[in-house]
Amino acid sequence: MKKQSNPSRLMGYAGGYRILTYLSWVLSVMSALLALVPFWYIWRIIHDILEVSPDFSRVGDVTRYGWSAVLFAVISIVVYIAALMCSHIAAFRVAANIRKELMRHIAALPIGVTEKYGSGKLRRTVNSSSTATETYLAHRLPDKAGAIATPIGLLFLLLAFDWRLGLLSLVPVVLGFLIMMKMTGKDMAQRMEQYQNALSDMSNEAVEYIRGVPVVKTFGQTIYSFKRFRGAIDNYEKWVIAYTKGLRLPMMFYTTAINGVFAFLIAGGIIFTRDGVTNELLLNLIFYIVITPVIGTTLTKIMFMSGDAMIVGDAVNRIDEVLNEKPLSESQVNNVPNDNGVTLEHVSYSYKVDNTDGGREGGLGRDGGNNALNDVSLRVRPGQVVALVGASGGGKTTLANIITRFFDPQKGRILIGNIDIRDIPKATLMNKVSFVFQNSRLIKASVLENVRMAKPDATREEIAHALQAAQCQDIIEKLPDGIDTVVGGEGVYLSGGEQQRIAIARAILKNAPILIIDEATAFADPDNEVRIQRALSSLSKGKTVIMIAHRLSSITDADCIYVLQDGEIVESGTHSGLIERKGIFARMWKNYSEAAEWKIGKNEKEAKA
Amino acid sequence: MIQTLQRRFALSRQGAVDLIKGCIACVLQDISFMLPVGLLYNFIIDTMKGGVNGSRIAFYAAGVSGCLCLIFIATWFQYNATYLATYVESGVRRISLAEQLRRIPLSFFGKKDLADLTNSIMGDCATLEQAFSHYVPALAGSLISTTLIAICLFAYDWRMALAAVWVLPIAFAITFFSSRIQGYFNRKSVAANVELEIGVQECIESIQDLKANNAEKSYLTGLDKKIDYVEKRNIITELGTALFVVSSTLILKFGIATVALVGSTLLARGEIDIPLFFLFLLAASRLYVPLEGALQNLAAVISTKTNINRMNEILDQPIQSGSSRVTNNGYDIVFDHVGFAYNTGETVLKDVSFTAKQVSE
Repeated sequence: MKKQSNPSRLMGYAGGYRILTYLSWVLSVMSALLALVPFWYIWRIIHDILEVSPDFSRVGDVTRYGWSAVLFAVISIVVYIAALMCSHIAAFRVAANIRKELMRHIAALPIGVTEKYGSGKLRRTVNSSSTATETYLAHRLPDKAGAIATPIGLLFLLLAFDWRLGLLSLVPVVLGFLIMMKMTGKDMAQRMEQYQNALSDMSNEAVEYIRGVPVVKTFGQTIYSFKRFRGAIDNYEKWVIAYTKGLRLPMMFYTTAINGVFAFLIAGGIIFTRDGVTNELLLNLIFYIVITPVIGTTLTKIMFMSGDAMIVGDAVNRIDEVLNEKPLSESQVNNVPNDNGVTLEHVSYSYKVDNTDGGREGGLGRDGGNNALNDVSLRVRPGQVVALVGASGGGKTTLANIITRFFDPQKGRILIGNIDIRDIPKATLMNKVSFVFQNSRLIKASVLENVRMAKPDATREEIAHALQAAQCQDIIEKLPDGIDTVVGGEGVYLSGGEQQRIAIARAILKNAPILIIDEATAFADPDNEVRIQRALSSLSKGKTVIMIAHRLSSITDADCIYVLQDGEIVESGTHSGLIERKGIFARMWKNYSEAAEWKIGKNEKEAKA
Repeated sequence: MIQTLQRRFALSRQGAVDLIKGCIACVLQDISFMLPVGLLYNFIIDTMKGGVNGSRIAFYAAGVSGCLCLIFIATWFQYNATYLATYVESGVRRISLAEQLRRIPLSFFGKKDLADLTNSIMGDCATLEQAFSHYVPALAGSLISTTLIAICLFAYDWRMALAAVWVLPIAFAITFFSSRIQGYFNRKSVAANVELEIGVQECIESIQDLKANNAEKSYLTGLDKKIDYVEKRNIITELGTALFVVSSTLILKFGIATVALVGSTLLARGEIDIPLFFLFLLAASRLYVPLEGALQNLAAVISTKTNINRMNEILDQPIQSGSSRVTNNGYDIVFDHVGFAYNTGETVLKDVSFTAKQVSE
């Protein structure tokens, strides 16, 4: 796959601002060259002084040259600042555009993909990776442009006046580089690799260690995980020191060479003046002595520049990784389902598609490539209430998710009102289906706004009514500003169960004809349990309901119960029908009834009582 | 002073001592770079008088080798005192952070995203590593060495010295003020960035609910506004700080130009002679080099304050106390008038007392 270079990738996001970026490079080059102009004036000054010596009253122009030197120094600074402003403005725009595009893309991705990354990693990509591009575009590139221009200008200056002295000035530089290259040969490359490996090991161990502390601490085992981490740190230290020591001697020679130009100039001066000193030679000698330190600074600047290319490359890769994820296809036709029945036809789904793991809690078919759903077919008629039961990891949640187009199945299809959900525009699909899952989120806005999300043009009364039906009166009463209180704001904390009820109010307001509920929400706490039960039954009236059931007693009246095991429907039927069959469900029912009698007591006898 | 350094830079005692050694080594190295000026000055005088021959050649040969050796040796010390010392200190820092993390109460980890925490700790260590091996000693060293050399120049001619040296205090002043100014502008940018991070995190976490209610478009519009605001604040910050940070580097470029200007003026008036003029030209050509290099990384040095504050936050956490030997008498759990409130002030437990008795055999 042909890869675009990083700068051109980033320019893709710049829009009209890319002109500013190019301008900043041009200005940076100009500034670098302008910074050399004062040296030319210095040459002229020295030249004139030597010419008129010792009668200095004749040296008229020299002051003018001095002022010109100052002037060009000023202009060079001003141009550089302009260059930086251009590059920064462009860089900030690029970063902003990248962030906007990433967020839009993330919003369009199937939710299964978003969960695979985890919100933290995605957030880091959106923020930090785009910041890395900022630094690259705003600083590195313009500085690079300048750093390339300066040596070229210098070269020109060096060779222009006296090429012999000029070449002599360059000899130590070349020497310095040769020494560096010779001494950082194969041995160093190996040490560099070891050092990089040790670094990434240490980073991985750091993650493991810190992630583990809360758990490990509870068992008093932190010293062991600490020992592992410490081992990685020590190893890193060992290699970074070995690497650094390896560079020491080359650095010493390089530094001496770069700063040793004076030696060559003195030697050259002695040799060339053997037959007598000319003014010209003296002038040039002085000039080269004055200008050669600039070589050293420029080279050192260039040497320290290479590190950042890697950081930007990494950032761009992360951004690409997210942008390359395929969003769910949007239907081209505007199909509207004609009724509210839900059908699954031979649906199979596996999380292990791109050799990635699911990443969520709950072992959903991620073990060794098993399908989370395996050839599942079922049919819910409009207005029916259907329950999904089974052991955890059996596929209930996956099934519920796939109906709401969390992700697309590998095989089979899902139909709502006899239309494949992939052929229904997403907005229409979302209007048809409500779901109440365990992790419904409230955003940092007022309760009113949170509920209104479901129906933007709802009136206050409608919202208040929905909140009441969701049994939220007690929550609203204790909030300082009632339904206008900002959730997640100062000192306002809602428990999980309370947040759940507000989410149910949202679903009530939405009033979608198909409802998917994960009943685990009812297990928040006893206080909320009854209220949530009531709210859910209020919500379910007259709708097509698919419920993931945990309390088997609540589904005795379901039109159909599906028992899921290892991603397959193993039994289905009415409650009484399944009990009669004396199969898996019957066993589950028996266990459930017994469990309902369990108590924690002092001993076995008491517990059984 | 060692302790101030320790605190300011989150260093161990050895680390602080090493930092001082590193600065001194940098000063010595900078001085070794300047020594050739003396040699060159003599050389120019000799050449003006007609050339170098005979025993003078030996003199220069010795002088050149001497200077080169000094540079070579000074670099050895500087390299050891900066790079090597830093990497050792970095290991110490990481280990003490790791030690601290396992001893502080779990509440510290509470609502933090652990991957974020890891990134910031490891990232901070790496940043500080680089700052202390490259930037800080070079900056301190160049400030000291440049001042020393500047003082020496005054011994020759105060006017020329002034012409060479006037840019230095200005560069220093700009340096110090820029940290204040940067702090001011940064606060607002940082706040805007934090808002954006929260917004992005919330969007990603709530995307399921947003999409379910077809509300994602309007939410994204709100997020766009936050992104735009961050962009705007970044530009303002840049405008505010660039003028300072960049100026301090480039103001040094004025130095040699003014030396030429003042020198030529004084020369024209017959107040100084050529050798002096050339001496100052030579000095000016080399005087600013160490400082120029160090100031380029000034922003990086200033921003280490953020990293250091983060580290100190962890290192300052009180570790959980207790004894390493279990001395309890049985396993009754007793709450004795327990009250607890979170840092946010939310009181959750008020004078709770109860006893959960151990089951007797």
